[in-house]
Amino acid sequence: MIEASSGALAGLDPVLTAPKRLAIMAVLARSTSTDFSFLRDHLEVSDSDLSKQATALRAAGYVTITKSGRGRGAVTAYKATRAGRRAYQRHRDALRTLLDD
Amino acid sequence: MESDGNRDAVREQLHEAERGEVVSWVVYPPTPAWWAVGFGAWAALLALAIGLLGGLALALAELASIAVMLVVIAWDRRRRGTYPSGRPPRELVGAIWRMLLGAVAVAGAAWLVGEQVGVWVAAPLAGVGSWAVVAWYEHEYAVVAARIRQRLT
Repeated sequence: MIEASSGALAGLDPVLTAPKRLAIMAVLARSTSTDFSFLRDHLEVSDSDLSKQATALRAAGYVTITKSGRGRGAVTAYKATRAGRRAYQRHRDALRTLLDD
Repeated sequence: MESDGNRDAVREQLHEAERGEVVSWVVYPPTPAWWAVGFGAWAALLALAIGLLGGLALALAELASIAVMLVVIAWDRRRRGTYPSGRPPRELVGAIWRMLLGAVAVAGAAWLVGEQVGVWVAAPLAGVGSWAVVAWYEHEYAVVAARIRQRLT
């Protein structure tokens, strides 16, 4: 039991232990790409908070950020990288294992 | 107590993860009224092209129909602010399969009628059949999506 818990703990990703970052990765793991406004509305966070969390995920290599258009029509879109999808799945599996232990 | 607290925290994180995973599937703006009719018109025109054209003209018509579908998907993606990918929520799988089977049945019936009767009967059949399948699917999908949103609130 302790061994299983240790294994599960090892599977937890420090980047994704922040709930908002986990929620962002959950959305991106099941979408082709997602716009800033959609994520902001789903997470119910401020623009600056979302930008901060997304920047941390980009720094970890888990998301790519693309900007298109200018002015009011400008759109920022986020997409999970392959490493990000893998990290998210590992983290989710570890959470599930912790709960099942 | 502390252990229970940790388990609650983990449970809460998993709940948030599940909410996030389904959100691109179940949160979307209202489907426009022309959506199902548009699919019907697209299918009817494609059936007409297949029945009446050949060679290069048919190839160009098929390319045009694919291009139209890609434009519609891009427009829908932009309108929704996201686009689902990967495994759908299990509650939606039945509706998706029934829609695919319906589409195959309509295509098969249109082909058969085209061969036996003629393209001028097959094309309206493809159009009306596609319209009906898409309209039913949109309705069924909306009902299930609302149920999932409710469950995850």
